[in-house]
Amino acid sequence: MKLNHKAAFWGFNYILAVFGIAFMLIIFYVSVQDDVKDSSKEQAEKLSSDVELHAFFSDLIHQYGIQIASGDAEGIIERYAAKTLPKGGYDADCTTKGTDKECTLTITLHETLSKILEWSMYASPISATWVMVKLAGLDSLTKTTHEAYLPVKPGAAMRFSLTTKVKFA
Amino acid sequence: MNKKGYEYSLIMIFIVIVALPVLYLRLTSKSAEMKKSLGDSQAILLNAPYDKEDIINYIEKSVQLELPNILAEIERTVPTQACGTNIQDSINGAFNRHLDPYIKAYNTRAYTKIPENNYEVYIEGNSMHAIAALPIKKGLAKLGTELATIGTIWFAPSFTVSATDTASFQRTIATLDSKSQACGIV
Repeated sequence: MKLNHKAAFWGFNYILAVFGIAFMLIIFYVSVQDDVKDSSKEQAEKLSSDVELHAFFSDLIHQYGIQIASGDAEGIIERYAAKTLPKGGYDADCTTKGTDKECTLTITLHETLSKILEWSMYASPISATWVMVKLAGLDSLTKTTHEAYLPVKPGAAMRFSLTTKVKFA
Repeated sequence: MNKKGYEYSLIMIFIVIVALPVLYLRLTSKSAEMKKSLGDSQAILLNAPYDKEDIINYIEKSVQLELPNILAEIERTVPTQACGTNIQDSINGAFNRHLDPYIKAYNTRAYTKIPENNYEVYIEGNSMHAIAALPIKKGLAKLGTELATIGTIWFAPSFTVSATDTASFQRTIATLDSKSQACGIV
């Protein structure tokens, strides 16, 4: 039997191309699947921390709403954060715009980024703040804002907003 | 490779080079049109109970601020009223009169509206139970995009306020009891 070198060459190329495309498709599928898994996990953690921080905000105004509206909001927020949230530095900064008050709570953490990346929302029990901090480390959540109205006096309501930020020491 | 093979290859190249970028552009333009990102609706739903609590908290804190004035008005008006007059109506009237200016202030600023003159009040021990007659309707939306709601929740903003100044509370209860006895109400 005479070997047709030209046909063999093109046949080999054809088989190589088919396998190459199949291999690329598999790599693409695995990569997309991993991306989807990672982003859905990140999204779930982002949701979880946003809701938990809303719980923190609601509890803060439930306990100290009148004092925040009428007095030293910065001191109240710092003390409440130190009592409720994990170890770290807490710095609240408030500005008054007309009748409204806008506060920013900056949480300074002493954990390393590698330590934070080990944390998972699936570990139980874990506070939402840890999750939020982890997300901040991942650069997917650096700040979150919640707002509500507080009574000041008859005929006057104040909008109070709290933005929570995380930074590393 | 014969001529048919070349033609087939050209078609495949055309599909890969032209069709895939077209598909990519179509998908990116569609995703740019989306105003909400993945999880936004779920976040709104999960935050809804806390939004509700924040509104009830506003009313509750307003009552805490006005409680001394409400109790003082009850003490002042109930003993002077005629025996045929309903005491409960006087209590509700005093409560709603003092609370409504706070509710008006809220309604002028917030998207969600709180019904005015909406409470029936029951005094028990050192606590005041405020039962709402009408519910609050609240649109579910992301902060800053309140007009783009994904749904609506209805809830009754009922709550209980406990007195820090128990002496004035007891004085009010004593006033109500003596009025009831004077009018022969059991």
